[in-house]
Amino acid sequence: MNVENFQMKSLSFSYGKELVLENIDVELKHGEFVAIVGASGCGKSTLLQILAGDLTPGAGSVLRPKRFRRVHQQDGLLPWLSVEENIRLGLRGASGDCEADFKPLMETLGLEGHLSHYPRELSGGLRQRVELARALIGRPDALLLDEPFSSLDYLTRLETRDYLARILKERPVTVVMVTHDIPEALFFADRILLLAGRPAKIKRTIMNPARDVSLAESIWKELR
Amino acid sequence: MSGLSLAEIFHGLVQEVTSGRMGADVYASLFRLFAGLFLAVAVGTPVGLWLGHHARMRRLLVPPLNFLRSISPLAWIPFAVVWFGIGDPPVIFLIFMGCVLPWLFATAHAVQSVPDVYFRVAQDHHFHGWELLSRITFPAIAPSLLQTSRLIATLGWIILVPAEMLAGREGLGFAIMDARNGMRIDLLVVNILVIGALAHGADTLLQRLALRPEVRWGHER
Repeated sequence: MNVENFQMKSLSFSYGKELVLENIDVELKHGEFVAIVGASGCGKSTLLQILAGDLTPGAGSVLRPKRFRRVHQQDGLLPWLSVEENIRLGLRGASGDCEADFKPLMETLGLEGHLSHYPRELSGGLRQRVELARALIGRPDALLLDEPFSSLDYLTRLETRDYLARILKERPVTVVMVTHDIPEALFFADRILLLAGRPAKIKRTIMNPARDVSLAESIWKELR
Repeated sequence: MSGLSLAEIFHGLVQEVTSGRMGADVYASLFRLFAGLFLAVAVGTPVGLWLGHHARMRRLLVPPLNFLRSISPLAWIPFAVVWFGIGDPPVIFLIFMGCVLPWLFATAHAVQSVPDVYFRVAQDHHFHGWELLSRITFPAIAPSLLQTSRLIATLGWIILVPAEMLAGREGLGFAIMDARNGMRIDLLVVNILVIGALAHGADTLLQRLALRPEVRWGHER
């Protein structure tokens, strides 16, 4: 069933006999940026895969918007397509007037000079910007970001993060981002969900962290 | 081969070309080779794609297919002659038998090796059915299959020569046997050199194809 935004109700998931996620309840609001933070291997990416429809929950329910796009951790570009062809994939199923967004979006993301290149010819930071462009070009209802900066070096990560912040300011969209990077979550999120334990549950919800870096240490302690 | 000079080999080549025999033999061999390889690819590709996507079927079918794969295609020669007589069909059959399973296994393996993320991207962008196959699966396995095509083309040549010796009435393999029967070592060498040159030419062409940007990514990571 399609709704305006993602909703998870009493969601549980097992790999075989091992219960990985238990009793997850989240409902997103329009235009909200939700960061799901947890240690590596805690089940964050599994949760994102359930949201995207790759995995079916063992219990509970997931409702998702009709048009959402995903930015992968790395190598989500199709290497046999040029940058432009990859980005234009995002126009599939989108309304015709999204085509008008192409040029301004390329300018905002600094991709104008790279459209004829192939992914293997780009740096890691540029590849992630191409993924962002592909995800946003069709004006989706929501974005799923799977640790979108984790494969980047520190400086490129900061640069790409600024690009994302700029583009989200221009085109507000509902976002779910999973990350193990606490400062990154604090930088972007309107709401942070701490995912921890075995099976993983939402241990704490932080509303409006407002880039308060003093929260970082308490979050870090809770996740350990 | 003692005493055989380059001049004699060249003379033999001129004789074969001017008599029209070389043209007829090359045509016959290339037709059989392409027909055998075409059938191997036409059968091996869909079955390989299917096996690549279905782990359960792989577990069931790979052992018997492996059993067949290890049998030399030349072991089928008696059957080929009994079933098809001599001429084009038995040679095409033998090339098919030798190449279909390597191509099938390579296709299945290539599909299994496609990173999941490409299929997730396909799902996110609503690729289904033929579009999924033609725009995601085929391009993703193309670099790997291009390398395999070089291998099976070589394998095809290797099978072609003995198959034509035993079940052909013309063709480069038959010409080698014919030259041997006539004790014409010059013609024997000429035919071997022509086979080498044609096989090398085909391989160079396939190597050039691998430089196209649509497949180059698979070799330059």
